[in-house]
Amino acid sequence: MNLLSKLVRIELKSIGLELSADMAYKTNFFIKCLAVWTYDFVGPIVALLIYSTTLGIPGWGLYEFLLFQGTVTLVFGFGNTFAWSMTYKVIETVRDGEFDKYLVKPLNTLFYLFTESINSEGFAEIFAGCAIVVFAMAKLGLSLFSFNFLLYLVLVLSGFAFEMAISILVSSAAFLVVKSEALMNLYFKISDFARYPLNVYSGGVKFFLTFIIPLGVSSFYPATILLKGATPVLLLSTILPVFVFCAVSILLWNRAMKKYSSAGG
Amino acid sequence: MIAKILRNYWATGKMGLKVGLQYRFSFLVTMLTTPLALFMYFFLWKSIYSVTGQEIIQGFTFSTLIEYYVLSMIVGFFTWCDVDKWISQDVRHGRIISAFVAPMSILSQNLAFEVGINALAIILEMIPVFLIGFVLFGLHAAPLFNFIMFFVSVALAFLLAFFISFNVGLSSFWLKKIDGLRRIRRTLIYFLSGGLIPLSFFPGWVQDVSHFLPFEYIRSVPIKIYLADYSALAILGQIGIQVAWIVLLYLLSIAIYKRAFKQFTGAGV
Repeated sequence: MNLLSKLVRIELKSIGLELSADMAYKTNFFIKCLAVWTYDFVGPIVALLIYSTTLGIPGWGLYEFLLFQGTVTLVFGFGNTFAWSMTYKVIETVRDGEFDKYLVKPLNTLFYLFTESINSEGFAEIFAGCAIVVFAMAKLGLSLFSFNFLLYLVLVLSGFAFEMAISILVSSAAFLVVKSEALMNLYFKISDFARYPLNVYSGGVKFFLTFIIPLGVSSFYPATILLKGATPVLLLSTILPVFVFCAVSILLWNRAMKKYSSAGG
Repeated sequence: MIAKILRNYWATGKMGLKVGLQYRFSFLVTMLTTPLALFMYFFLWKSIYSVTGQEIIQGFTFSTLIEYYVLSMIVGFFTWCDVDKWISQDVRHGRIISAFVAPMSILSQNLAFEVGINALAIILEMIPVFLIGFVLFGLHAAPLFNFIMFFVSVALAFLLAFFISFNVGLSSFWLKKIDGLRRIRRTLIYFLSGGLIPLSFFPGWVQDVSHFLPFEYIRSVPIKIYLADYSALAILGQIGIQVAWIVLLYLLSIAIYKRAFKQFTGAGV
């Protein structure tokens, strides 16, 4: 409990620091938010264009698909705010031989890195995601106080956990290979597939995105379960791969930590 | 005189090429991973076409639409341009001073550099995507005239993208940090040039307005030239509009640059 309160304190402090740094360049921060929103609302506009000219994506009505897109934005927004800036930091400090400074902190290195790395632009993305989800839910007449919505929140959190796991994985790779950015870019390319419902893909791709790289949990499964309810099997097959991924990533991180020897900076 | 100018261009271009070579590993990764997006569009539109049950949607059959995305990717390699990033970095760090005193204008330096840095990407990325397009995605070879005009138009599209980006970069003389503006520039160019979805899916009035904006001449027009959507005469007309936009943006950049130069006080000057 003591540790948790400590982490929360550091987290809040980091968020405060990041925001006050942004306030130093207010115009740039405002334009950055605007840029994030432009980007995030291009997706729904494309959805409108698709649905006004075709019968749309099979199995998804317009507002259902907007709910889907909002969820993607939300989960990736969480990832961009809390997960990926850590990876950039690890890659950079390992390359420059400055990583040692994290090893001497009186806290678990991984916890500390996560709490210290915040990307404030991500907040704008989370905000946009929430707005789109709430709008779509209102249009679909879905209640916030339902069991399905609770499951939806659990799955969104697993989506977030998966983003964390991947970012830990790429960070661990930074100790082994110098160009681990390539891995990150590869992941970002694959994650684009999660921007459309998994049922449009062939069985192999769907299997891959459910069990091998469980990106389905960043939107397809949460949105499906909110709209249609869940079976225990569906829930288990969605969350279990994420658990495995988290466990493996932490294992690899710990091994990388053991093997790490400083560049002597 | 001309030989000297050309030598300057060549030297700066080579510099860009060398910077490009520094990133050869990430180019390799891009080369291998970029075509993934084509599979995504393939599956997405296949499902949409099958549920809609129409042969032609907004002027596109399924196979032409996939050709569109292949070509869109190729045009994207040409028109990728980060000159606003280099300029804003140079302004913030005060390095722009050395660019002022070089025996070439800032514009020519950046243009030559950008051509150099893109040259490698084009060769490394375009050829495999053409091949993948031909083999996997049913891309047809264009008639020779269209094929040649496609490359002419793509080269002009690069200049157009360059000048938009250059103008955005010049704004850093006033704004210093322009990361946000650059992202808006990227998103707008990508979306309004038809990078995510062809412009014919947009409402009619947007398409009408779009003819009077520079964006569609960066991607949509070259692709339509390749797909033989225009008559020979119309192709020349479209290329004329591209040239007109380039001249307009060039003049704009000269005007902005003069003002920027006058009010500039860099770090350590």
